[in-house]
Amino acid sequence: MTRSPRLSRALVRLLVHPRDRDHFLDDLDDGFAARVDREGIAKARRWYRHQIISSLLPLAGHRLRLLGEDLANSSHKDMRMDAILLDARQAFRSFRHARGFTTVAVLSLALGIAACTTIFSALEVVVLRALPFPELERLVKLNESTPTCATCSTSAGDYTTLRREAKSFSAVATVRGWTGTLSLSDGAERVTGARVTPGFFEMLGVRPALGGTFDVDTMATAPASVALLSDKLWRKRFGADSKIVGSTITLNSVAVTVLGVLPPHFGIGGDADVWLPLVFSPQQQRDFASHGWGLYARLAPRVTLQQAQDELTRLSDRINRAYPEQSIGMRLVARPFGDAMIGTLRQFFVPLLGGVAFVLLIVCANVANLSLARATSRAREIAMRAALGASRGRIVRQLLLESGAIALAGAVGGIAITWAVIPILRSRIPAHFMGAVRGWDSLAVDWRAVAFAVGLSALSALLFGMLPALRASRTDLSTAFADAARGSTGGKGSALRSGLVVVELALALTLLAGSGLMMRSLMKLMNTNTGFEGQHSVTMALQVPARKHVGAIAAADFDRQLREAISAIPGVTAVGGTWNLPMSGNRNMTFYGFADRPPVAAAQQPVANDGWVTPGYFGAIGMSLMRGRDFTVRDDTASTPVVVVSKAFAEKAWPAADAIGQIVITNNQRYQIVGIVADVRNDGVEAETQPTIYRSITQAGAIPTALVVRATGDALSIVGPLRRALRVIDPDAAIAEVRSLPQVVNEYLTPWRLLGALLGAFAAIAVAIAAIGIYGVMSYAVTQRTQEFGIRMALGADRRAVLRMVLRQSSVLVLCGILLGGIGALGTGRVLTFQLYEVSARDPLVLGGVAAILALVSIAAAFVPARRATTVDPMIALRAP
Amino acid sequence: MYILAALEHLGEDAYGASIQAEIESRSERPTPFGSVYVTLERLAKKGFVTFWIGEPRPVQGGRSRKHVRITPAGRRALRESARSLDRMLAGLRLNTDGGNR
Repeated sequence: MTRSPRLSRALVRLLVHPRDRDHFLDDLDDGFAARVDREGIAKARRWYRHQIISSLLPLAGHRLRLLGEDLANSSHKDMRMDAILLDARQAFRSFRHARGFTTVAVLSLALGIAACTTIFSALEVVVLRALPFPELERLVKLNESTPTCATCSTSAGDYTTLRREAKSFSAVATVRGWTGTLSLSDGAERVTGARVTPGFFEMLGVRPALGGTFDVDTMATAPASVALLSDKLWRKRFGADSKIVGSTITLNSVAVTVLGVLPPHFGIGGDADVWLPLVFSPQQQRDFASHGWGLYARLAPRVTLQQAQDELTRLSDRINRAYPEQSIGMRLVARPFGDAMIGTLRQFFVPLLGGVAFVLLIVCANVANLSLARATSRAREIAMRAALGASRGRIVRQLLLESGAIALAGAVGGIAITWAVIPILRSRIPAHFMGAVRGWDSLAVDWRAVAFAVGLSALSALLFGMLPALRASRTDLSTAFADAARGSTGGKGSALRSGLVVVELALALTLLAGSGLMMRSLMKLMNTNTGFEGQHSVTMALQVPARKHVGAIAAADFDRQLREAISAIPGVTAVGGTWNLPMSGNRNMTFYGFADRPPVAAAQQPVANDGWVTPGYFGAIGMSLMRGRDFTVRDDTASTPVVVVSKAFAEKAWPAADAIGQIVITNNQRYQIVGIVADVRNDGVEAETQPTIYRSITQAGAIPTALVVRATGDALSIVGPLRRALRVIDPDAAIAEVRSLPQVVNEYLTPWRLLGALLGAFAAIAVAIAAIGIYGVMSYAVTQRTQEFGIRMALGADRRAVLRMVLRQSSVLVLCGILLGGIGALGTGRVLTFQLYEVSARDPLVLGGVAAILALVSIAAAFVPARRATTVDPMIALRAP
Repeated sequence: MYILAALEHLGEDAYGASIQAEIESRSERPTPFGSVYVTLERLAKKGFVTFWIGEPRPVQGGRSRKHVRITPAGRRALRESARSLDRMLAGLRLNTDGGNR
């Protein structure tokens, strides 16, 4: 048989007006048949296809024109507004008769839409609107890349070289975090901020909300005495005073003129309330060894990232050759600004968005399922309307209107739930974590969220409404009436409904697996030994105006006073200071060598974590001293430089010999090792411990930037007395970010906890809905087979046999769902890999566990109707109509 | 104009497929089927053509063909456009078959 291509025919059906469809196809077939005879089947087929493809545009245009005319004339009586209103009224009337169905459908939709809207709102503020800079795709972040550190901070020399020589960038700017004290009438407060080079704001395309930014002239005349304020600080501390520009504030005990106020929510990376200008001395401009600057640039017009990278590679080689004594074999690497700033955050949203999409799909499948069940029981009503002359389109429209009404109610409910949940979500995020995720504090239900929810509801109405509507409207009149008369309905829909339940179960399993993997990671992390024994330790940032304590003697004096004052507080058992608190996200590294081994070029030297602490720190934070001694106040600027090293460092450097007494060289300085401490996870709970060299802040003649205090009992109770003691020593000094050590560790785990909890919540909704689905399908099946059960039991089948039979039927569904969901679960694991800790993406315990949970819940849901089957009284069942 | 001309050539035997074949063979220009269909609709609206349903095809279950006939108004329009085309081309020397190289 010479058939014309089927796909092409389907296309024609779609595009040609029903009136002419058959003629059109017949004519085409004639041409086709003539060609088959003349040129053979293959050529004829090609001709046919070619005809269709070249006809698509004219046909589609024609069809649209006809549609437009139809609508304009409104000659079609079904399209009139009053008919639609009648249908809508009919739809609402029908809900009154099906309260159970309506409640379940609206509530589950509301949950699904709320989950989606919440995640969408979060995505919006922390990802989509996080970097509101013009031509964001032209902005890049630059890092130094070395074998030991892929994305390291840059040096002042890097910045100067690029600023002078790089042709690929239209602007280059560098930034360094800054903290200081802001003195107000009611005392000093620690503020965070950044120092930025001229042109930084211009490069980003940011204009101040008030006043101006640093331009080159201002920088040249008065480098350090001007500042820009964040919108937040301006509102919180200066009452949104519009006359603040040009007035003077006291930062670090120095008078500074306010140049301007930045727009709301401006920031890159963490919180910054004060922005200060940064200029490098000629000496700094040749410094390629000190790091810690963040380097940003904007690509010049028509320059690609690759071209910029090529130039960076050439410049890096030049720098390495020109300054061999400072060279660490680094290479400057550019990456898109967005990737660098919110790349990890984006990663978090993949499983979350997937999760909510699954929840909504399950909800839609379930509502479709309920609608199908309802449509079956309404078959008679629909058949009646068709018999009375309702066209198929009219019936489909009414059923779709019903779905639309349900979806709209779901949207309203969903927005209400989101509105209630978002404040909870906002308040449950630790302040510390919020600082790192910009915009989180502006999370709210806005018009975008509402529009999103409504759009989503319309989409889901189509998803769950289309299938039942089309099915129901296709009802064959005679069988519908006949079935209805017999009191039962055909089992046509039940395969479809079983299919939907299988899909629901599979999606639920996928979500369960995701949350299971996350929870297991979290559990492992919580049981990880960080090396700190600090149940009663408190950490806090310390801000001291540096210029008031210049020089080793002044610093040592301040340090001694502070130590004595804190130790005098009742309950305090230990006190210490550091430059880098655990889990702070900062990691400093230093190259090192040994006195007893031949010197190695800087680039080939090993690196160790660079810890700086004061005497007493190890005791205060609960790191056990394994051998040797701690630093003491007698290790001062005049005495032999000493270091304490971590166990891993000692074992790596001297596997066979004793490390105590050995000499380590770092930063061109010889240090004698006096002690060995236990390994700790300073960089993060999940981060492997690194060999670490600890040096003494006191011996360097400096002041710590953070304090750790250990106390008996409630450690946080010492904070009040500590603040008072500090004010006596220096009224311009301040402490901030006070947290107990367990809290620090706990809050560090926020991302895991958040992801685990959110996925867990989604999974719980999913499982509940899937259980409703399987319950619905099974009870329908049982009702249908009531007569059959009656006969079986009358013939001697016992209750257990009937129960088994029903449960077997549901087990098949569950098994199919689990098998299908298993594939999805493996996929989930892969999406989550970035955040898994010591758990494989296909961890058998997790996958098996969640499959068992799902199986149990669904069999339990099926058990209720199965029990009902066994209570069938054979007499009644057989007499049933 | 192509279609109206094809209708004149075909007479009673004009329907979708034959019109398309006629145009393609005479003009040697590929003509998508959909264009023929859409243009016929447009011509019918202007009153230049009418449709009539023919006898069923001589195969089992064969459906009737939708035939097309040119109306007097269509004939006038065809004549008119042919004339205006002639006038447009009058006096132009075009390289047609057998023209000088």
